[in-house]
Parts: sequence; structure tokens; C-alpha cells
Amino acid sequence: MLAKPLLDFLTNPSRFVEQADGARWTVFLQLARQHGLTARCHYMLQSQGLMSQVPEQIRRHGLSAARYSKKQQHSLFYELQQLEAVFGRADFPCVLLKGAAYRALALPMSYGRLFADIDILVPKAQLRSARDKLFFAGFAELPLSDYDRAYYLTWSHQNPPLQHYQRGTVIDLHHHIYPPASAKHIDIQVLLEHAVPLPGSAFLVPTLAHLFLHAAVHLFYQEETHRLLKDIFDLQDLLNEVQQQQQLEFIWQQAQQMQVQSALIDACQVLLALFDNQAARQLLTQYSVLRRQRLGARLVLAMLTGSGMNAWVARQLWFLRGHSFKMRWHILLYHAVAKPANGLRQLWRSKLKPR
Amino acid sequence: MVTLSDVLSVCQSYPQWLQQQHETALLQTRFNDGSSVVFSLLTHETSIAGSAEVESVQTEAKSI
Amino acid sequence: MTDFAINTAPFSVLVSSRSPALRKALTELYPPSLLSEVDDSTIYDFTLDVRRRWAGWGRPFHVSSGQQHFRMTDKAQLVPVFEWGLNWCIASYQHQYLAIHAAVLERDGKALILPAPPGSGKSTLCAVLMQEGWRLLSDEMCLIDLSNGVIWPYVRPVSLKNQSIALIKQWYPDARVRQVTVGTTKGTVGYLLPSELSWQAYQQPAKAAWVVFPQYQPEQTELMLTPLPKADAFMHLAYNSFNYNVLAEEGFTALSALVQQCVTYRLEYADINQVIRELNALC
Repeated sequence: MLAKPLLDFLTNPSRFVEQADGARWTVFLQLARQHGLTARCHYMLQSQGLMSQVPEQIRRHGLSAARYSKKQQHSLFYELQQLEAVFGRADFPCVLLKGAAYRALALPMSYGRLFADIDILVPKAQLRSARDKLFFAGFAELPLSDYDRAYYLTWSHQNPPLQHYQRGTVIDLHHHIYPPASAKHIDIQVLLEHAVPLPGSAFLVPTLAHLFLHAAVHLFYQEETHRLLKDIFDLQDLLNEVQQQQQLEFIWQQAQQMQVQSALIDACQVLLALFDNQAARQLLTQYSVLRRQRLGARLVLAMLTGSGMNAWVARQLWFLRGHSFKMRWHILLYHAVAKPANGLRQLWRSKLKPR
Repeated sequence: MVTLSDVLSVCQSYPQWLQQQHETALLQTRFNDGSSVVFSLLTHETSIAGSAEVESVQTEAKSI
Repeated sequence: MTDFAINTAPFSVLVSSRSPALRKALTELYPPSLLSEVDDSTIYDFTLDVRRRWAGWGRPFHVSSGQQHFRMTDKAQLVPVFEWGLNWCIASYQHQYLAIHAAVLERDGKALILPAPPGSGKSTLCAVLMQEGWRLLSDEMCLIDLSNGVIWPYVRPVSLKNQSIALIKQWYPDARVRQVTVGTTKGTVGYLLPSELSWQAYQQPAKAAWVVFPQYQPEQTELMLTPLPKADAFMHLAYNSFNYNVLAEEGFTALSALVQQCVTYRLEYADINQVIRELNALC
């Protein structure tokens, strides 16, 4: 796989630093930028005390990326502060998800992490109310075709993205962590119930266990691959946090309640294989799922570490597998046929129709 | 080199950050021709100090 | 594979390409000492891929950095698209300097900054001053050191557009304009080679002394050089910066120090000879 040097860095930074020559550092810089991990690698070097062994040039680029991520952190916090008034009087929980939650909690994995938009989860019954509040605070839906909008509202787990008219910030307002129309039925009630309020803020954050389960669901129940490496690395850091906060027992029990054990096991199997993650080993041993590697885990490992052909085959299978989870077949079929047909109709209306 | 303060400001959680924002800090530069500019640490906006009409710099980074 | 490297400072670039056409064209623009084979012991700051790919009707060149695609082009426009691609990489990723969209020239160790939006005649003015003996630091990007405020050169060929190509050739018959390409998104583009002096000192910083905002006004009969309040100059510089906003208070502090130590003017002109005279008197 092309990202091998970056994976090598992430699995064992000190060995990488010791062995890397100019060519390897050049590839590293390129890959780290491509995966949005430059700043994160910089903080890894810093926290592991390796900075003095790193070439000056690499340090400069790391610091450069760190500046950018620091600006992003400020933008996020400032935006959340603007939203405090919007959600301050809401009589329902507003839960930060993904990057926004990692940052708000200052998890070590959030240092240098790049993100594009703010993900917020509210109970389904209050989605409309939350959307209206955001609307009056200056957030409007980005222009969408009627078809896409209908798709979001009917099949997806979120409102179409909302953008602030002045600040440009984009909010993804979720009512679920996974499309309810899919073949998987995930119960997020426990995630909402256990969510913890942030002191001084109107927002809540999921427990670490739920943050991990969400990230695992996000990765293992879909078909995309372009952020694979970053997603896996997020899981690695999150699981270590889960262990530190002694939520290993809890995470297993929560996975059962939410019916997402398969994502948890897939994630643990990958983390064990790649990083020899001890929390993953403990979970897998305790619940005797150490031996048989599941298909999801096998495909991810093949995509990350396999040779060209194996990685390619794994990607095709991953694509099919992800799609079959995400949508029941009749919906998938509808989507596949209706979307191009709709596109042609649009094209006809906008460009080809004689006027 | 990254300074300690760089690292600390990144380690800050949102609740910690919120607490600090009660006192909105401004940085001000007085130039030797008498004119002056200010930068808000909260909004990250820059403006000309003292002018009735405040000109401000947008918050989006530009590219070529 | 005909990978090669351009060892400019402060940023070097590794060019990954299967076609020898680009390297051949770039030998006209960069000194032989800075174009080299790829050296495995060197870290290159940026990597640009220039590949021919199938694209329906033909096999145009794709210029990209890793998986981030910049632009597609046919062979005729390869050089300008490559130069813009490199600028795009740097503008997107570098925050070690406060970068301002400006030309920078130096005399006696002191730097003249000419910030300006496209169409203000900045590039032409920059080319003229270089031909008049100023040392070129950059025609495009003023790189301010965040720790001590000095300006670092980033010497590259000076990009001239449309009429200014003919004007420079007319005013300075010995000016070396190479790789003239017609029909780009910016019209006709050509590259004026930096002077020997500029290449020799390509790693030597300068201290900012003057900030002059040029504006070409064809109807103007007399040149106008008007002092600009420093606060106004600051705002214009910030507005013309690629990363002022990313750098937040660091950017504010560095730009404050720079403006404080400079004299700041607005320059409205029509006749280039008047400009040369005026700037020689001022600087």
C-alpha cells in the first residue's frame, strides 16, 4: 500500500526516526499532508521526546502544520461559544460528536487533528426544533437538488449540512449515528443517556466508550477508504483513552446494547494486529474472539498492509460490503437508478432544453 | 521549536477555554506615526483602532 | 521515470514525472546548479507529480501533490501550470513564515516591499527594478520570518503577463524572457530570468525598510507618492497575506513589527521612468 511509510511512522515513531533517510522523510511529508496528519505526527514526536532526533526541516513543517491546527481549534471553540446561546435554552440534549468532541475534551489525539465541520447529535423528535434554532441563528441549508434533499431527509441520519451565512461554518446536525434505513439497527438511546455535560457549556459529549463505538461504526459499516489510515489511528488513540478511564468492561456492555459488537471486534482485531494494542488484546481475550479474524478486520488489514493485488481485491470487497450494510438492497437499487435518471433530467432542464 | 505555551494552548479543553474568555483580551500596536491597530484574541479580528468606521480583516485564509 | 529536483530556497521541490518535456523547459528558467537528480539523502519540502493520464479525449498532463489534484493541462501550458502548482503547494501548507502576496527587492541590505493585487502593475514594476540593479527576493511572495522579522528570498523566474512582456523587452532589450505561453487562464505568460546577483544571493535575507503599494493609472500625468498611515498599510498587508489569519496573534505581532520599522507609501503612476527616478530618490 502507498501509505506504508506513514503507517510505519504511526506504529513505531522512534524506529522510523532512527532509520529514515532523506527520501523516506520526503515521502513522509507528502503522505502526512495528504492524510491531514502532519500536525498530529508533530505532537507525537513531541510527546514521545523524539524531537531532538528529527531533522530541522521536518520540525519546521511540523510546526507549520501545528500552527494551522491551533487556528482550527480556536475557530471551533469560538464557533461553539457562538452556539451556546442557541442551545442554551434547549430542553433536549445537544451532543458533540467526532472531532468536535475530541477537541472539546482535549483528548491527546485531538492535538493537530484537522476537521472540516461540526457534528452535533440531537434526539430525532427534536431535530426540527434544533434546525429551527440554528436557522434563526443564521444557519441555512447548502443548496441541494430536490432529490438530494429528499435523500437526506428520508434515508440519511442527518439533516442536509447547515452553513452560517457570514462565518461560513458548516454544521452536520444528526439524529442518529448511522442511517436508520440501513440493514443495521443501531440503538443510540444509551449514547444519549450516558452523555456528559461539558462544564459551563450547553453541550454534552458522549463517554469515551461511545466515542469509540461511534468511530468504529463509522469506519466498519461503510465503504469509503480515503481516510482509512486516519480513522484507524483515531481508534487506536481512543481505545487507549477508554482503557485509561477504565471503561473496557463498559464498552463491551454498551456495544451489546447498541448492537454494534461486530464493529468493536473488527476494530480491536485491527488495532491488535497493527499496533499490538493491549486494550484490544484484553477485550478480545476476555470475550474469546481472539482467534477468528473477522472479514471487516481482514479487509482493512489487507488494504493497509497488503501487496498491490491483495489490497486492490480487498478494496473492491470492502466497497461491496460497506454498501450492503448501509442500505438495504432495494433502497440501494432505487438510489442507483433514480440518481442518474434525476441527473439527466436536471441536465436536460438546465443545459440542453431548447429555449 | 515549539514552545511550552504552544503545547499548553493546544491541550486546553473547551470548558477551560470558555473560562478564560471572560476577559476578552485585545492586542494593540501603536505605530510611530500615531496610527494604531488592534487584534482581538477572542474573535481573531484585526481592526484600525480609534476610527469610527472599523475596518476588519476577514477570517478566511486566501490562496493563490 | 525522470524524477528531478529544484533546489531553490527556502523550499525545494521534488518533481515526479514520466515526461522529459517539463525538465527540459525548466532548464531554461532555473540555473543548472539548482536543477538536479533526486538525491536520497536530501529531504525535499514539497513533491509535485506531473503525469500524463487518460482523460476521455486525450492524455493531458495532471499536476498534483500526492492525491491532491491541482490542475490538468496540455503540453503547451505545462510550464505556467507547474509554476502555479508549486505556488499553490506553498500557499496551502507553509505557515513557518508570514507570507504576503507582494514583490520584494533589495538594495544595500534593505528591502522594498511592493504588495498589490493582480492588475496593479506589480510584476512589471518588479521586473523593471530588477533590471535597474535591485536584487530580486521574490515577485510573488514576501516571506517574513516570525522569529526575527527578516525577509527571506524565494528566488524564482518572474512571471510576466500580456503587454508587460513586450514592454520589458522593449525597455530592456537584453532582458531574458523565456517560455512564453499564449492562451493560459491568465492570458499570455512569460518568465523573466532573475539577475545573476539575485541568484547568487538566493539564501541571503534582507531587512524590510519600505512598503510601497503601487497602482498603475494610465491617465495620470504626474506620479503621486503619498505617505500612507501605518495602520492602513497594516490592514492592506494583512488583506494581501496568504496566511495572516492562520497565524493569528503571531501574525499580528510579526506584521506590527515589520510595519513599525518601514516607511509606507501609496504610489500612483503612469510613466515607468518617473517611478525609477522617484524610488531611487526615496530608497
